Amino acid sequence: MTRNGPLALAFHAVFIAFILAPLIVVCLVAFTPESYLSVPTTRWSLRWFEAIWGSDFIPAFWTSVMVACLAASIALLISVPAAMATARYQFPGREALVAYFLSPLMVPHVVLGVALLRFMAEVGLTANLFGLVMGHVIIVLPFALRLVLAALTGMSRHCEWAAWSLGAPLHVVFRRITLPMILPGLAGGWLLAFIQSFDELTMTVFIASPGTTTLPVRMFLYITDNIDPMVASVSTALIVLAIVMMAVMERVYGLERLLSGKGAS
Amino acid sequence: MPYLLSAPATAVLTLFLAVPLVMVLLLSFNTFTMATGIQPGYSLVNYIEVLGDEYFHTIFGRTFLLAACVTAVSALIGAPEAYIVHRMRAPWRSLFLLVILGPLLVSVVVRTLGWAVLLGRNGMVNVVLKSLGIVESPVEFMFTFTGMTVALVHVLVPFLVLSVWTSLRRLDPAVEAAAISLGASQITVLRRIVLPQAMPGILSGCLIVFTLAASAFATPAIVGGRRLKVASMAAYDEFLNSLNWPLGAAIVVVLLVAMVAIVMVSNRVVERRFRQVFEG
Amino acid sequence: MAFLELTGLVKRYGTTAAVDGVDLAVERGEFLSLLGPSGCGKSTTLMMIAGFVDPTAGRIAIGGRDVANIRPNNRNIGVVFQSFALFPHMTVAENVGFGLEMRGVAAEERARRIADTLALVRLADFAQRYPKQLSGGQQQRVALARALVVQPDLLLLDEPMSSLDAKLREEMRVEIRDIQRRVAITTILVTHDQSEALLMADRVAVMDRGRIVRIGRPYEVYEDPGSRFVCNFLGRTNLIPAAVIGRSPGRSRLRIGAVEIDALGDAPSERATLSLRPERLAFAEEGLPGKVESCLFMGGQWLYRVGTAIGELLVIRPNEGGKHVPEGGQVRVSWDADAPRVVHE
Repeated sequence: MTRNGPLALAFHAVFIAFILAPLIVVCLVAFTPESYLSVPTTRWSLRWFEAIWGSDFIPAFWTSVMVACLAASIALLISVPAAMATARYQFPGREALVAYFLSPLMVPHVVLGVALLRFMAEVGLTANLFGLVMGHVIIVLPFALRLVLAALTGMSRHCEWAAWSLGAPLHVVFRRITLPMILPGLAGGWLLAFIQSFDELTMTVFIASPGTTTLPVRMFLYITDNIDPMVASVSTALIVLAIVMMAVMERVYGLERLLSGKGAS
Repeated sequence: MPYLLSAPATAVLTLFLAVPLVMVLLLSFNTFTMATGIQPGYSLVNYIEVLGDEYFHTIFGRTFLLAACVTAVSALIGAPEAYIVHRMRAPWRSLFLLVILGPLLVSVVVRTLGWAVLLGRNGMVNVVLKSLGIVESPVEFMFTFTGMTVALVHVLVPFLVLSVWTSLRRLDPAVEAAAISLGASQITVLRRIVLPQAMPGILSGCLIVFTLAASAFATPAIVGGRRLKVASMAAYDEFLNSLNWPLGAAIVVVLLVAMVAIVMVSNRVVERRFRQVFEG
Repeated sequence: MAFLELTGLVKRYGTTAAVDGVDLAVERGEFLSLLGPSGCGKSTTLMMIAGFVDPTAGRIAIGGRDVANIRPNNRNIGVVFQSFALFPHMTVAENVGFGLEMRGVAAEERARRIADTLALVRLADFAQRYPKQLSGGQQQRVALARALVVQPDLLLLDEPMSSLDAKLREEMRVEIRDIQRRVAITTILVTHDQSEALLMADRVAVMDRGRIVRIGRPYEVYEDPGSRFVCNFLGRTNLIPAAVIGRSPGRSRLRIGAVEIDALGDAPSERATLSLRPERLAFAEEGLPGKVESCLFMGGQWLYRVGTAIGELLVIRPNEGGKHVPEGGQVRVSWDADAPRVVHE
């Protein structure tokens, strides 16, 4: 294969700089000793990281973690049987069902936010964590489902058949053969769903109440008010968290494979 | 059996997606006044306002112009970058792919904050421009269309790179080698061999970027602010500030219909044009 | 009553019939091969016997019992798949022991039978390996051991050799056949490889478009294929259109141009097709005159194309050291009286 020329490499360098610049700047600003946004040159300080403790970013972070855990788990729980149905059976309406399961990808998050806000007002679920979690389930379901489906279709049916004819009833086949074989896909699906949920802002901003504010919403409201180094230090912590997650996902599933299954933010 | 297995997912989707969407559609036909609040009914008054008012024309015009600009810029820089990464050797290729795709795992708020810091009056970009003597007084990027475009390109370009890269991966390197051995120049190979095969990836990537840009909320809200409202922010204001829910619902329905129409039309065009490549 | 009986078995997908009325009877301990090109319905037939695929119509009986309402896990059938379908997350011993575990066999008894069966397939030292760490041939033997260890009533082999390379395939054919004879288990082998079917099976059933078109002992089926399809599918042959000029029971007299030939088999109409196997043709003092048009050396044998009054004939002669007829040579082609066969379209 031919190599990239100097022009191509220069373009590449600029592109990578473009991608990394805002993230790096945020990390730098987080260490400023000043009380306004500035890149520290001579003196570095951790004062803005210390300031995070005791701020309301901490409860928001825990809300986010809880919502993301619940949403990812529920989404995985309902997408495994759904994936089994669409991957293992031929039945009328199968194509339509798959399209229906993936349809949340087509709906912009603003629309989802508005729709759920109206829905919860009608059924009396406002200011309720359950409503928020279910909204997130809708958003992450296609991601979880796609990875579970990929794992199931990538796995040979013959292994299940072999176990079946060796005397295992279908539920034992599922538990002893299918489940262990699709486990990496499940783990990848859960992680991807978790991250999607954890980072979700647009829908959540509509339906979060003061008691159920997630971290992205808290940060968004904070930034639209004013930007100070504290929000940069929170961001830095999130960037570090994302890097850790990337390392974990790379080990569990392979990041490239995971992100290829991804279609929207 | 398959119906039973898919019942939980179907139920959740129906209850928390289909029903709410229908509710919003119905809501958009209601009326609203400050004094009486939301009045049930079937009226087109909100649609008349959204589709007829100068104010909303500007907002929707801006939304789709922004989406178009972001898509164009993303395609122009994302597609070549995907090709460059595709041509890299083993460790570098995955490393840079990680660098480009990794930011997808970081919240949009964080990434946009970075641009707010960079583009501010005393931001890095202005410092560099001033020290290079290109400008004398700081240029305002925050709360400008340019600023929104730049930040949104940054948020969405990874999707385009990913989509193009996936289609390039299917490309057999032997085909390129064959073309060169037949006497084709590098430019010809790019134009006649690589580009046609990457085209489905570029187009589907463009579609993803366009739909996400047209419905983007956080980035335009932070970088564009109140002055440069886009459709999703207009809906946000109607719902959470003016409390005119029916009007907000109408905005959202118009946005959704416009986007679905655009997606369907371009899907049809793309499929017709590239059927052979897709089937390959 | 035969051990396995298929009666009027049909499987339709939409409007196309994958299996279109199969009747088959297999005796206890017999090794039967279902042979045919891909898409002829042989694998679908096998999957219906195993119970993975439900028949559209027809009856399957094992040991005299209709199995329509018996799930695969209760049929006591061992299956070896083309992909081997080993459980990747289990060791060889766990793979082999899975069926015993499902049958509730106690741990010590299980360990003993796993060891015995692994010894039978010569894999005693590999019990703690994972499938990924084995070669193709070893994986195949694990799959076989896993199917045999539960002492099934019926062993089904679905193209078990086609993912092995040529040399290993030949070894495994002999090995599997020997193991089958030793444990005397009723076996059905699905394959598209005619030499595999002929070599391994007691009886061969040739399938075409969802039906069994010829069934019999390998030698019989090869020698008396009956139809043009079987003739072409099993080995090579010379097929010559002929006019029927005389009939007696089991025999027909055919004319091709000016040449008249007696052939085995009944001709259904005034026109018939004559089959002459190339290895049954020889060069002799007496016979049909011809001219060698090409002569190819294949190692073990010589391949001649001979132009004759009844058309171009393919003749295969064993390599008996040095002497062969060169291109352009004049020869006389002769055959034994039982070589010419009448085949149907």
